[in-house]
Amino acid sequence: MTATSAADPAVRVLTALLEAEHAVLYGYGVLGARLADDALVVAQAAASAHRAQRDRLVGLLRDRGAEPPAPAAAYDAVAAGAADALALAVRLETGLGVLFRDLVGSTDDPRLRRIGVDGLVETAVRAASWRSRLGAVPATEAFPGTA
Amino acid sequence: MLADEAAARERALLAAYDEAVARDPALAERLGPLRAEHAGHLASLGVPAVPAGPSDPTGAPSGGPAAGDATPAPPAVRPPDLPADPALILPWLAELERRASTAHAGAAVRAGRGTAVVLASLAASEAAHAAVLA
Repeated sequence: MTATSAADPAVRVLTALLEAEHAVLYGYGVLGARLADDALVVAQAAASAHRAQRDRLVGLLRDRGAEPPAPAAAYDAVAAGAADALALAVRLETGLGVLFRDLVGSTDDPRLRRIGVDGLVETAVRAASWRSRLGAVPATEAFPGTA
Repeated sequence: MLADEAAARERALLAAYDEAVARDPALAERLGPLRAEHAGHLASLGVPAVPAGPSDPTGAPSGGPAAGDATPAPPAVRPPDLPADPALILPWLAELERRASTAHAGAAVRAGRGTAVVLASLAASEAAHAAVLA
């Protein structure tokens, strides 16, 4: 089973994505503690979307006979205040977007392609929303996923 | 083919931004950076900024999928016209961005890998544009 998994480039990318989603969820826990009101609600909704994505990735890896990686005990994610928290959220989303783009470029399976495209779209929309809160102009990127 | 269709969508968006700013010049500052991203998208698709098309003796500028174009036009629903109410200009652009995002995303699922990553990135950028315009 490991031979099959290792030979499947999609498994490598899905594994990297799941590891990244674990780190992103940890990061949202850290940054959520620095946010209040509306921003906190948005962060909680984002974390909920990431949990759903994590669970989906676990399923996709198991479907391929691969062992889904467990989360690490801790990740390098700090936010001293609200602005730090927003900047961290931008970094988490843009970094994850790179991996969803990798998924698009590593498979011809339409289902995985769709997951990659949708993941890149969702991370770009959330990153833009966090950049808007930081007052960045423009809040968008011309080429999400290429950071 | 998929890249050409995506380029047509980018040209249509550039034209829409120009139309919006012509109607309300106060929007230029806000829309300029987004328009610039579309110019970057068009350049990334590796097709001429002006559609080459079959040699056109009239030299008529192409403002969109021309009816008599020899190339098969993408199955597009005609987009809504620029609204008369200035308050509706940004929602109009947001709707056009959403449509382009959806079309780019669908093409990214079907395209070869090299084109797919570009189209996926454009789909993501247009979706973010729609979000910040809404």
